[in-house]
Amino acid sequence: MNKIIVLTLLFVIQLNHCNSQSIYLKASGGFNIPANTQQSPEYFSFRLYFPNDVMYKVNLSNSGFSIAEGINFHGAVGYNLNKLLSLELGISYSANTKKEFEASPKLEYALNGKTNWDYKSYSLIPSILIGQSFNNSAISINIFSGIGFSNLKVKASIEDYYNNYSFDKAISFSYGYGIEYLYRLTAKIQIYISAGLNNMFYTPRHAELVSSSDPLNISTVYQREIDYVTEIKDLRLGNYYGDQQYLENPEVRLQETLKLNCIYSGIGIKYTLLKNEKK
Amino acid sequence: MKKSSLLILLIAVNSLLNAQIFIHPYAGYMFSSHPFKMQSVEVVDFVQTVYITKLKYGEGMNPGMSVGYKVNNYLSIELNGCTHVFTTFNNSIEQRDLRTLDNFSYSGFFGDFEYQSKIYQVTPQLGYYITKNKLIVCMKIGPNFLKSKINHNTHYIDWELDIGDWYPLNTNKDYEYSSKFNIGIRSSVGIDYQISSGLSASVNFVSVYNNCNITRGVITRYEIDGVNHLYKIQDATTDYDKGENVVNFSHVGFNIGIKYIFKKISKTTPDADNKSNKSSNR
Repeated sequence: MNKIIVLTLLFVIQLNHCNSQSIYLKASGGFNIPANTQQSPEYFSFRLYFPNDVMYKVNLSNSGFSIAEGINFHGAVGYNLNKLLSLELGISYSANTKKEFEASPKLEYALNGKTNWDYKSYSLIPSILIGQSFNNSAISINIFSGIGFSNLKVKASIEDYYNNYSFDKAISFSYGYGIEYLYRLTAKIQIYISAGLNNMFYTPRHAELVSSSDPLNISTVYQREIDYVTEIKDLRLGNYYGDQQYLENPEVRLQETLKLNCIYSGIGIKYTLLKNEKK
Repeated sequence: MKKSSLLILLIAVNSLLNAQIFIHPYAGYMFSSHPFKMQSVEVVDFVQTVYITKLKYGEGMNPGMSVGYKVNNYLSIELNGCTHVFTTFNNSIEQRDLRTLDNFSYSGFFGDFEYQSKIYQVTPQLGYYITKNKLIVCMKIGPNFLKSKINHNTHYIDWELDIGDWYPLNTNKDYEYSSKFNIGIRSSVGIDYQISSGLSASVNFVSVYNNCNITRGVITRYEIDGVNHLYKIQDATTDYDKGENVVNFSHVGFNIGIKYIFKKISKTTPDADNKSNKSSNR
């Protein structure tokens, strides 16, 4: 930890001694639209329990699923290595705005429900920019990758029945590339627009049922919690209906990765830190 | 007629020579970014094992060529066309002999599964270039038109239960799926290294996002213990509505290629020629 602090301080001191126009700050906001859709991940089964051990499984599957549509906010500190190359370290936040997905295609002889997905992602994004200038404007190609964590909540419902799941803050990864067009307003301030492709990956490891319309649904650990694993091999199941030893452990399912492929666009402002010129 | 054709050809060649037209043959390997995961679940004596079969649609070797026009040093428009080869993959999930089991349940596919997915892609693209000495960094993007043909060849044991006893039926069943052109997005970012004035080598990282609506599925083979039973299937052909059978062909990978830029012949006046001669004499 101390090493990180020392290295950070050294980096800051180094930046202070850099050429005056080398450091800049950026802030932008924008919108993501999906570049692709996928089959919705089946993170849980939504079952309705009725008296006399009657149970129905609700179809939630959606073949045109994507929660990549949403907003993004990005802030970064950058350093111009030379006229061509810059390095940036950014912090990014994105959240989905398209949340609700009905089962599609609908199954004829089944109950068809819907899901509501609430996804938020926070990422640290190092990137490299290759650019060229023209009079008052400049264009850069931006290549980046990111690491962060994501929050996911999913609500499955049909009519008045619902199950509300909260997923763990698992590490998420991203990579992408894009293009930026900058226009100089003053010596210090530029505005820019950016667009490109971003790919985010989130694989939850654990989920918990946090609320349900049916109190029966939260009676055992098996019904409340889900562990996602990479492999299911020789997993001991309950020997009989109501096997308490089995029901006091979380349900085990295979991991599924949520892939958010999006076309991002944004508008932002770049502030160049100027200092006294070296004589 | 021949004269007019020759004239058109000459004009075409002339315009080709005057424009900054380039050709860019390339090849590489693409990895499926959205493989379809098929689960096969085995439960024997209350012990569960789940087998995963990944169907890597869109994966394979990717030869192609693009023809383009450099508008200036920064922009180009081009038409890209490519296909995928070496796209045959095999999977096998062994199923136990049901005659030796008492308490079991099976769901999903168990057996040998071979699949092949041929794809054809056409993409009009817009490219942006940043040049530094002999290195050119470029980014390209455009709508991708993708058409596919998928073959599934399966071999499995179909178990028939007859008066309390299981009988294995050695079954071969093949399917062929086809689609029309589906629209997606293709983009790439890469580096060109200029070998000479008209020739450069290129490396590109390519991302393709493309779903494909399967329009038709046909059972092409159905054999039990080596005997043809295809004629017994009443609906061997199935037509799918849009969204009913969607396959994700998205892929990423690297392409390596050679780009040849046809030299632009500048039209010079006799005066200009004289001046250049004089300057060279000095």
